[in-house]
Amino acid sequence: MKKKLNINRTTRYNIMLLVLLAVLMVFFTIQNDRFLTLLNLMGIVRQTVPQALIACGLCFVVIAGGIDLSTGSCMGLSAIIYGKLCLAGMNAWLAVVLCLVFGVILAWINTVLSENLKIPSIMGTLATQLIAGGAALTIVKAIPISDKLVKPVTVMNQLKFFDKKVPLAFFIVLAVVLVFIFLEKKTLIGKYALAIGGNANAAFFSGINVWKMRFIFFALCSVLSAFSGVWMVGRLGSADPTIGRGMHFEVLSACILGGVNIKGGEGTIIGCVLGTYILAVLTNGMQMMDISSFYQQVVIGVVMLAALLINQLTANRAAKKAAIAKAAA
Amino acid sequence: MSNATANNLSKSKLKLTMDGVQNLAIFAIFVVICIVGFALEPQLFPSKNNIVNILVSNSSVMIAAPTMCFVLLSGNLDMSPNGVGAMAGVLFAIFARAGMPVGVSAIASIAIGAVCGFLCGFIISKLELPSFIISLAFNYITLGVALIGAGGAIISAGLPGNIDDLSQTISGVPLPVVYAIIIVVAFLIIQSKTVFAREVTAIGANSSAAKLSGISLVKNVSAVFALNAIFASFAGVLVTSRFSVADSGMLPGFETDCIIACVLGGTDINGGRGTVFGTLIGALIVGVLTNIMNMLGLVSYTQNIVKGLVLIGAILLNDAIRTKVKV
Repeated sequence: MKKKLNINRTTRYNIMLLVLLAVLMVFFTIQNDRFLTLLNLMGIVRQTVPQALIACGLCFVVIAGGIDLSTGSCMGLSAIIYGKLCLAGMNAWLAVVLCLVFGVILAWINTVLSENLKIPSIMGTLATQLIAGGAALTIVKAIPISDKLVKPVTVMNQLKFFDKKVPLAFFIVLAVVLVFIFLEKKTLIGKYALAIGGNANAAFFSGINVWKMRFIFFALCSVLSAFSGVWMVGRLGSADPTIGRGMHFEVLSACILGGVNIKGGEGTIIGCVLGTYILAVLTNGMQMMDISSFYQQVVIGVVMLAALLINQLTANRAAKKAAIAKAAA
Repeated sequence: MSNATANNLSKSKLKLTMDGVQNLAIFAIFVVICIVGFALEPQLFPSKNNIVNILVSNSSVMIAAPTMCFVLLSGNLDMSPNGVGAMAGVLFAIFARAGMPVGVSAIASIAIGAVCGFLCGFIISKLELPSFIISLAFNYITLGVALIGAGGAIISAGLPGNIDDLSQTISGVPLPVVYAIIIVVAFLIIQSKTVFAREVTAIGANSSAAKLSGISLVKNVSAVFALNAIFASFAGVLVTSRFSVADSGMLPGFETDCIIACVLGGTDINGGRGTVFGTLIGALIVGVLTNIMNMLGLVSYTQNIVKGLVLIGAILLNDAIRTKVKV
């Protein structure tokens, strides 16, 4: 493809998101001069590690025309598995690895439900959400595990570099985002996700192994969710089965805000990351302005609605323009 | 899909339709579950108290599930009943506390819920946006309004004494159950007798064909979402009235319960197929199952596991009936 001067719609949308993020940050800095400090910004990054990681994973799933509602429950169950394994005397880091394996198993179940049994992924993952969430609570009878044995992972949260200013969280998020951008731009995963999301049948007949690709997308998402579960254990110091409550919708709204088309075939990792941090900055800034947390839900809903409307209206305009150009030719 | 609609349209009394087979299968499962319940607790399960209990605790789902069935029929999903219901319940309590008569405050709060639902449906159909995500945004907004209204706490002080008028028990029959039965019967009639139901089904089966044959998408989808919001709000108002307490978390997982009832009842989540009767049986199955699990001493979070498995099983059963059974 020849490089053209005019930028495409996706890039334009991402630039718009970046501008929105900048405007929000300027606004909150004017409101409270402590907003734009390294401490606060790193605090935002640390608080939203699960959101940022899962948003990257979910991005591919949604681009490929699926959806994963089981992420929050996956976090909870993985935290409980980690806690139980530690209580059984296993090495904490080996337990973390087993949690990631659990993520792969959950992804396999989701893939079988959606590809082999042909259950739409919104219903299949809703079922796994109910099952995994119920299982997490049942295993521990709804009581968090706060034994000393689960503490080893808390070092992940405490580790800081550069004069104890930049937490490990920042590097983890940065690394995951960079890996995902690499996967999206430089490997076939990103291309295939777009192809499957655009038309799964056409993708299948042009030789793409749809089952395998869907499994990879679900696996990326679930493994990152499972890791986020362990991460939250590290932050809280206890394995709580409800740590992922509402996470699936939170992450999904970040992806939608980031310009991912819920019907599939459109979206970027950068957009998802920007979407996540717009929501995070909104939440943090509103807290600093002493706005009650009750308003945050309304704001998130309105922002989501606005993003969808803007995206759809510009898409309609672009489609109209293309139609006119076609008619002229 | 078009076959399904054709089947619906040429419903003859003697021949069993696909929907008939599906409803029979679901009814059989319902009977089996009831027999299991009877076998487990021969004394307790069939007692009048227990049956009334099942119906009352299930009344919210029975009230909102028929309209959810219509939403699914039109090929959409509504994730907002939880938020809309909570908002209506909280507003109802606020209006009643401010001294408005109970009936008027109920109607006012339901009207506000209806406006939200209408807006949601209008945006979805006018801009052709995916219903799942738009209704999710509305869920956030309405739930947020409920939280702000209740101030993050519960509203119980200062409510008028007659707030439970709407959900009294009159000579042993609780009013919520009466409402649920009236609503289900009304929607059974609407589905079999009105053009509106046909148009909604046609939209779900093939929206572009429906559009080309002169059916207004905007009008029908907006109406369907407004209806669903009305009955979700009504459920929220009833819960508030029943417990004389308004709480923004009064209907947790309400949308999931309604969707599960519909799917269990044979409604296709891709639209174009489903019956109100099946939905009613689906809601009752969930109610009876929950009741049995409660009697067995299973806690609510363990019941979620069963709910998830039932959801998968129901979808697989529907698929099997649709592809294997030839009518």
